[in-house]
Amino acid sequence: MYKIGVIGPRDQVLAFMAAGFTVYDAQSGREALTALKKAKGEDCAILYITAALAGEIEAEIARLSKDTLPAIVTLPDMDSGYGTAQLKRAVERAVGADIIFKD
Amino acid sequence: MAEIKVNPTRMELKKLKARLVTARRGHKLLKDKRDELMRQFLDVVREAKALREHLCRQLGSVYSSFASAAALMDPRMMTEALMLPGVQGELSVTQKNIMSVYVPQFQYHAAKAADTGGAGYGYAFTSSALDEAVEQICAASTQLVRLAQLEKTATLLCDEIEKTRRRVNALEYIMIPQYEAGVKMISMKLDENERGAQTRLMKVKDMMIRAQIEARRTEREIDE
Repeated sequence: MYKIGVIGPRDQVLAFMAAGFTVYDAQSGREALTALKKAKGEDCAILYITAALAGEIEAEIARLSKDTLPAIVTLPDMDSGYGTAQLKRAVERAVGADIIFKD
Repeated sequence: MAEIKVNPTRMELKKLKARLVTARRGHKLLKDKRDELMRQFLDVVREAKALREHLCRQLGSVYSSFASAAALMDPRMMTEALMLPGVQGELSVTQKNIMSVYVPQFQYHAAKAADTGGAGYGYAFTSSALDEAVEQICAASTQLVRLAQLEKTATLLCDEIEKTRRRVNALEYIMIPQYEAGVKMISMKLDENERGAQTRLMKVKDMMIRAQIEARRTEREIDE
């Protein structure tokens, strides 16, 4: 059976512990990277990461995302719009122009 | 465009023609693959976009109630309260093949832990905002897993579409025109050789006939 991990500052992601997710505390990009590697070794199939940390280690996430597992996903939040921007970029890369997010 | 260098022989022509046929068939197949991948990708992205927007709204209130709970409660007590999850989620993963791209399919079953009756902590020393946050997160967990699946699928399909498009373009604009130019070059060279040989033969025949006429004329002159 696989685990679901959440990486982020402890005070932001602790609530996910109640849903049975494994919480990895990371305050900086470097700590997030260490947590990411640790989580990958611990059979995590899904890894949620806060938008701010995901922005810091974008290149590393892109490299790890080439494998089928784990699925590294930015936690949805109201302020940053980072996850939506990532999706938008994927559409631009695949289609050549943004045809879904244009508003 | 760099042309391919080949010897102008019938053997090479035959080989080149066969490669052209294969390249055309491959181009058609890859083009179909690209179109189908694109269709699936756009469906996935549309769904992911809607789900992310929905979850952004839902989790926004979770974060605020969690923050107010964190402000009211002692951090150690908070950790202690959340240590034992009230919900036991079971995640299993299978793989699905979309046009030879393997994407994960997550099956998530959230079951409330029987001995705790939902929340993993006693209500006596915790804030009500925490209860609210925990309840909403548990409710959103299935959708969070679905979002992970959709976004992972989108990323994998995006990479494959990029690769396939490069291949289609390479075949369409480089390989196929090169093969066509090669076939044309060889067939023209062969035709030219054939014409050269024909002319040579006619010339030789002409010379032979002239020599015969000459020989007969001298014979006749000797007789006379």
